[in-house]
Amino acid sequence: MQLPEPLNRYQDIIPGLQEFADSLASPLKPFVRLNTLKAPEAAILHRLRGEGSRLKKTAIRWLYSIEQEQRLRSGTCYQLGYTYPQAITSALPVLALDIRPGQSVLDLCAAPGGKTTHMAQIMGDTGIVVANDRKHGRITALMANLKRLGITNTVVTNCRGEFLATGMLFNRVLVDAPCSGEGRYRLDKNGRLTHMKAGATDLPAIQKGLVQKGYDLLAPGGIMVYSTCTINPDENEAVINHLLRKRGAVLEPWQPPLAWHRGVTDWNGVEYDKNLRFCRRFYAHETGSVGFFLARIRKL
Amino acid sequence: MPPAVFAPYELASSSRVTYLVRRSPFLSGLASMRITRAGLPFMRNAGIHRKPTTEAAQRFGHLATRNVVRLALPDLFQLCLQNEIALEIDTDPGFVFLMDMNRSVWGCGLYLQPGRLLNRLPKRMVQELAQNRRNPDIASQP
Repeated sequence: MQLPEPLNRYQDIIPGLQEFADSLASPLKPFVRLNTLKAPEAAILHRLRGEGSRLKKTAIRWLYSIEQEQRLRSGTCYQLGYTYPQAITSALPVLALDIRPGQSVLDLCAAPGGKTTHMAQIMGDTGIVVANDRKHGRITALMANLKRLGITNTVVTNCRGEFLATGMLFNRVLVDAPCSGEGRYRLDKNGRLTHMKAGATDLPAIQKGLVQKGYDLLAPGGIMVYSTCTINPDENEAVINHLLRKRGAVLEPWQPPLAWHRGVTDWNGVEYDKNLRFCRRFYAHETGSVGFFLARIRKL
Repeated sequence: MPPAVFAPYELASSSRVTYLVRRSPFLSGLASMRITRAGLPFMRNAGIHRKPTTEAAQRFGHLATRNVVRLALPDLFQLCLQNEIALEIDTDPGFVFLMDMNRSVWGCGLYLQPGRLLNRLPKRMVQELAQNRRNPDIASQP
């Protein structure tokens, strides 16, 4: 069994290799989150079904799989801010944060706002969310989504996350870091990988800077989640291993509502901290969604 | 709209837009931050008048006790496409909330006497909704 480049280097860590390889040829399933800040869940469901959408409840609150993907961004429910199309795995870091209404939350790499708006929804639009992103073009999408979903508890900042200056520490911090996006890779009809990003950015260096900054802005007792949509250990476990060495952070186990695997503790001949087994890995062939990684970290 | 609806919020203004920001003890901690946008655009200056934004209308419009116009979907689509429909209603001239029969507020219209209702929904939203009109599942909704 041979995976296409560059995924073939993960053959030893991907479970069910044949199923994983087969799944690359299938499109990712579309999911939609219902925005209960604007209307009750039952009313949105009634409306969507009336428009001909076939929805199926998932293990995650407010999240449904949907068949008519082409209507996700054009139906009246979308225009009215009742729905947010997203990958099911994108909901996981928000759940792992264990957010409560009234808290202070920092989303260090927020655009286009799927996780930001999910957090605001869990908080019942109370407390405060600081949503930051460095890219101006992506900030526009973030602000459009915040408006569309009718959110009032979020302030938007536009700077490099590593240099974000705040006058406060936060109860919760999300570092959904920029990554190679390997969890999104699919095969086209010609057997070529799609969704590959061009460029030679040193992503692990950026990710290490972001995760350290996120940890520094976390209040004692607070929870930070680091997440990516890649399966590359250099962008995942190696980044968290770096944080554990630099800051003495504490990794916590977490029980996700989707099929998961432990973080790897050695990769390419490098041994990581044993606690990295508490990280969680998600593969596209098991979740039907984007491949994902997350680590839940507490500051003592 | 009952004033109590807005009791948990602060208002922040720029030259043209007033924003609604959820009140929180953490807000003062953000004073030193360089903020791009705070909260939800709530009102926009439109000449000598102040118009509720579409986003605010969609979020809070269902709580309005007057200046609400309920329309069936075909009438809403017609308003979107033609930008104006003839309608006699018992309300003062001015901005009104456009509500469908499922009690969803789409945004604002401008009611002018005698019997004119003008569309004030965003152009992009109107374009998307116009496409929906071709969808028989949606067009057949009440």
